[in-house]
Amino acid sequence: MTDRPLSSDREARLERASAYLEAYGAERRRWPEEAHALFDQICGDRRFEERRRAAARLDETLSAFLAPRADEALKERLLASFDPPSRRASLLSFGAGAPRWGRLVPAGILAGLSALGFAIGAATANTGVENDPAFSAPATFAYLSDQGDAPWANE
Amino acid sequence: MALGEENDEALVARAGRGDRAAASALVLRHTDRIFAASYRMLGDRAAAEDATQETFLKLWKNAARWRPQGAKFETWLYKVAMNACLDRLRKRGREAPEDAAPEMTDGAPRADDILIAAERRDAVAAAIAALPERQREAIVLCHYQELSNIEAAKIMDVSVEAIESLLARGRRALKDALIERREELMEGGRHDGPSVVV
Repeated sequence: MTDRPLSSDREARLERASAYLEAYGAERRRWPEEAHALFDQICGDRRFEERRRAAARLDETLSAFLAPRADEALKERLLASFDPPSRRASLLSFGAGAPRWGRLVPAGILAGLSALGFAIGAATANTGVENDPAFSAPATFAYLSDQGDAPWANE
Repeated sequence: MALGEENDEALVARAGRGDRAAASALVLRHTDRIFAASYRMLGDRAAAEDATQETFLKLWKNAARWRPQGAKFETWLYKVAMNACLDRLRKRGREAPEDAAPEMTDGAPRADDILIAAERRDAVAAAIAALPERQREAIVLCHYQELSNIEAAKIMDVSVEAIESLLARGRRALKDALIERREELMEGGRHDGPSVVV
């Protein structure tokens, strides 16, 4: 009566251990830590050892696929591609890290320059230009009259 | 503390502030492993170098903003690398396994043992290249890179159970492709592909 559950436990353990063998191979260190106790318990079981030998053959075969080492030129290229992000950020977003009032400084400078330009324009609007003989209305009209194609030429 | 002793997270933070020495330490620490994983995924050096370069470009771009958020830096880096490899595989389309096998180093006569080793390597590479992408990724991360199933699951965005299933199916397919070849050889049958001694 007692053999049955024991045998059943053993079978269940073997099945669980076989599932780990299929996924992780024959080496204990490759198994998840929580399965190490199971590995230790079942080691020595004849059927487990048979399956483990088959898994070990596959592990050994897979170990033939060695990857070459990355060469130094690649490492140099990787480092050459390093663009210090802080410098890039400061160039791309001028004033982004400044306090709120600080961000208004460039806009204020632009607004001030615009206002100054407008004021200079307004101050000079009534002086100078119409006194220049080259821009005087009579001279212009006289030139057009001489050409004979002004609408008022025959008046 | 010397740069080589600093943890990845500290180095990434420093690289994010523009520290070239920290960037150099990250390159020295991670390039070989990222390159090896890419090489095993893609099967050729030039493509693996491209994928590695893309991975580090993304690192430089994101270093200033990178936060651990529960994941190790290396896990994040592998995830970027695996995505770069999968993009390349999808662009490349489904190729014959032979195309993805590593190129032989030269055609000069070699000693028998070197030849056999090269043939075995090529046969394993071809068998791995013939696996479905996700099985290949699981085998590369867990078997070759020796990451834990939990790390691999994070990188692949799947559960640990799914990783175990991918690994088991991948290993079964590799066993069929490689161990069966040994049976053919032992029987003395003719074969067209490279021989494998297991």
